[in-house]
Formats: sequence, C-alpha cells, structure tokens
Amino acid sequence: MISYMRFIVIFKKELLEYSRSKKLVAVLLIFSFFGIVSPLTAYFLPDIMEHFTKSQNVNIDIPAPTYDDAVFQYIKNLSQMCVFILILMNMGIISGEKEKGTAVFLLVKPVKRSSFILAKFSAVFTITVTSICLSALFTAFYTFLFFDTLNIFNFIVQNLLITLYILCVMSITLMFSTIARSQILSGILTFFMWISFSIFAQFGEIGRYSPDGLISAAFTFPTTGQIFPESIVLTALIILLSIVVSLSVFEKWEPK
Amino acid sequence: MSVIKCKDVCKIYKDSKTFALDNLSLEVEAHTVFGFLGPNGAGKTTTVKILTGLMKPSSGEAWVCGENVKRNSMALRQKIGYLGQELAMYKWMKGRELLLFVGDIFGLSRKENLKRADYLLEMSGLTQSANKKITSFSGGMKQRLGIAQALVSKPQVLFLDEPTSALDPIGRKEVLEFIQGIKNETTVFMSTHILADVERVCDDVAILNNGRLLAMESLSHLKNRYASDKCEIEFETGSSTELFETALKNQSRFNFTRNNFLFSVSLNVVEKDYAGLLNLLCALNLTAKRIEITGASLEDIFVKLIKHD
Repeated sequence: MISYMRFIVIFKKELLEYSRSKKLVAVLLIFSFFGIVSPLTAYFLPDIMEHFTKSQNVNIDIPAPTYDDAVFQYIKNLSQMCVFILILMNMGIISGEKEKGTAVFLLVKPVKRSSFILAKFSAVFTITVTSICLSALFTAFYTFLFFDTLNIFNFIVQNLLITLYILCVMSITLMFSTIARSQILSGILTFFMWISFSIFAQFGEIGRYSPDGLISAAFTFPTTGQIFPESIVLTALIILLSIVVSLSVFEKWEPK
Repeated sequence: MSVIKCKDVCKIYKDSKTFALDNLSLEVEAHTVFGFLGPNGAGKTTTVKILTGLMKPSSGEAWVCGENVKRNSMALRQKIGYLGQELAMYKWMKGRELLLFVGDIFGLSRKENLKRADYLLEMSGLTQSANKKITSFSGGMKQRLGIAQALVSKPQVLFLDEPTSALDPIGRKEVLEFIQGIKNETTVFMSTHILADVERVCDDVAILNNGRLLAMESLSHLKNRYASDKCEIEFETGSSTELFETALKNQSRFNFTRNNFLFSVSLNVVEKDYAGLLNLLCALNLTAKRIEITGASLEDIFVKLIKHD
C-alpha cells in the first residue's frame, strides 16, 4: 500500500514535470495538429495537385478523395511524424535523470527502483494515449465534416492498433533510456531499433511478426477486416520485455 | 553510541584495477559532525554512496543506524538524509513544493508535511523564497534547500557530500552556519576537501587517501597527536634572515620552513624549543620583528599524513 502511494507520488511528479517543461503542451498540440491536418490534406490534395499540374500543362486524373484517404493520412502521420517526436521527447526521460543526478535524489529516499521505472512508463503511456485520443477526436470530427461519413468501429480498431504500435516504440525508448548512459546514446539505439522494425516488416509474411505489421493491419483493416494477431502478440511481448529489462537493469544500476 | 560502522570495506570499480576503497573501517558517534576529509579522488564519494545504499561494496560490511547497507533496505533509507555534491534536485519545482514532494515520499500526513516544510524553510532562511522556482535560487540558497530536503524525514544520519565545494565565501558561511545549527537534531557525516570547513564545524575527523584511512579521531586529539605547535619568527632585513637560517640549519633539532623574512619552526617540546630559539636569537644578537607561537592547523596534519602515505 505504501509502495503504491509512493508510486502515485512519483507518477504525479512525472506528469507535473511534463506539464512544467511545456512538453505536455507541445505533444498535445503536435498530435492535435496532425489530427486536424490529416483529413484536410486528404480532402484538399486533389485541388492542390490540380493547381500545380495545371500550371505545367499536365493533365492527371486524380480520383475524388474518400474517407479512407483521410484515415490513411492520419495513420501515416501518427506512425511516422508523431512517433519521431515522441522518441525525441522521451529518449532522455531516464538517462537524463541518471546524468543529472536526480535519480539518485529519489533513490536514496524510500522509493523502490521498480516504482521509479513503472512511474516513468505509466506517465509516458498516459500522455501518449491521451495525445492519440485527442488526435483521433480531431480526425474523426474533420473527417465527418468533410466526408460526411465515419465508420466508428473501423476507426476505433485502427486507433487501437496504432496505439499499441506507438506504446511499443515508447517502451523501447524507455528501455534504452534505462540502459544507456546518455540521452544521445539512448536516442540512437531507439531510432536504430525503430528503423529495424520497418525493414523487417518488408519481408513478406515474416514481416507480420514485426510491430510494423500493426500499421499494415491498420491500413488494410477497413477492406480486409484482418488485424494480424501475430503482430499484436509480438508487440505486446516486446512491451512486456522492455518493462522487464528496464526493471532488471535499473535494479542493478550504480551511480558513478 | 555508534550510528555508522564500517568494517573492512573495499570497493573496486569494474573498469579499474585499483581499490577505490581499501579495507576502510570507521565508526561515527551519534550527534556529532563527522568530517570525512581527503584530496580529490580519495574515495570520499564512494564511501558516502556505499553508506547510503546507492552502491554495493566489493567486500566488507557497513551498518548505518543498525541497518546493513548492503541490503539497501527501505528501513535504512527511512533513517538517513543525503545531499550529493552535484546538488541534483528537481529545479523546476518551487522551494516549498520540493519539500512537500519529499514529505509525500516519506509518507507524512498533509498537516505534518506542511508543518515540517514551514519549519525547515524557516530554519534554512528560505521562507521568503519558498514560492520561487529553485532555478532562481543562489548557490547558497540551493545548498541550504538541499540540506533542508534531506532533513524532511528527521533522519538519524545526514550525509553531505562536499556541501560547500561549489559555493562562494558567503554561500559557504551560510551553509556552515546551517550545519552547525542542525547538530542537535541529527548526526552529520560530511565529506569534504576543504580543511577550513572541517576545522570550523566538525567534532571528529577521518582522513582518507587513495581509499585508505590514514587517521580518525577527534579534531583536538588529531592535532595533539600529529602536529606540533609552531613558532613564527619574522625579520625586517635580509641579512638577519640569512644569518638566522644558517644558524637554524646547524641546529638539527629544529624543523623549519622559510617564506621570505618569515620562519615557521616546529616546536616538538614547546617550552624547551621556544627557549632554544630565543637563546639562538640572543647569541646571534638579532632583533626579530615578530615572534609568535601558533597552534597546529588541520592543514599541517593533512599535508603531513598525505605526504607520508
């Protein structure tokens, strides 16, 4: 019970730190921006393309945009731009505290090392999920506004898949932040792993065993109705493994 | 009663072949300010980290407030306070906010937490700045807040690692006065390489070099044992100085140093050696500008012990 209370104290501190450092505002604004821009881009892309091609006397037939294009754009932005920004924001969340000495400030007090790590994961997960929800709400609203349609069930499933994918990348970010001695090293390792997922996903059927299989599933779900359970299981295992490795590494960590 | 006890503690870092700590054994009595003295790299911070449970010794045992530090138990961390030399705190917080946060970690009730925070802010002279961000604090203020946060849980032992090394003279004075003021509340284990700080606030002293303990006892005993009083003799002219130096060199019983016209002569047996010096001056028919007996300083002991190590 006391350990749980301390976990809550550190979890609240994490959220407060996010808020005070303006990271929270930044991440919410960025996700909101992509949530708004995705359906707008899909809707106006034919007009934009027509404007450019006309000036060069080229005539290309661009099909009228659909609701699927808006969601497609949304998934693409979330899985690329937003993930990139989240990695940058969180790569120093543990290694930074080790470098600055604030980890020692807490660990010399009656705080379990596991509480410290789990509070970090929980805070990052909470902020990530909140940001995705906000982004999804904006996308849903503007998609409905411009395309007069929205398959809510499909959209929820697509969001769940993409959320699991982003949480997986965040888990890896936090794991490397625990292992690495510096923020830069943890960032490099995370980006390397993130790119590896994308490369692995290119290997046909085997690629489904990459977390990137979730993005493919999110793209194709409205037409195929398939969610690639192997990707879901593997991604969940990677999240779990990242937490276990972080807990184990941090338990043995000795400040220099 | 000992609140800190170390027995044959050794530490070898993974990436090093030499001992960071070499069979360190020491005991610290309750309600004293214990100065842990040593040059940079002597092993002071390693000792503090082992005693606070942040680091495990390679061998040996250590207890703080009866708790074995190897276990790094919650019970140990409930009983100690710590301020590291990096002065690492959540500087985005405000002064009072930091103390309340630490109180929450120690599980104080809301009422008790507020009361304790107010008391510590007043004690550290930070009441006026309590609601300002820590980033706006001066070095001395940050250090006093650092000590205050380490006192939130009313620890039995307070570990301070180089608490004054990064401060200007005013900040140093403030922090040393603060440390003197908390002597009745807790035992203070203070690592430092600033000898003047130790002379000013510490009751007992340990001197460490290359991970080995060279001496450990009360400051007064240490002075009596390791350093003798000195007689300072100052001349006005170069010719007198040269003459006196030649005479001193011929008398093998005197150990002395010379700095321009000033001689500092060690007095092994105060009365006898002092009389001998006066007789020498009379015999040479020299007039000194100043003759003064001065007590041994910690610096003399420190230099002597480190040189002989």
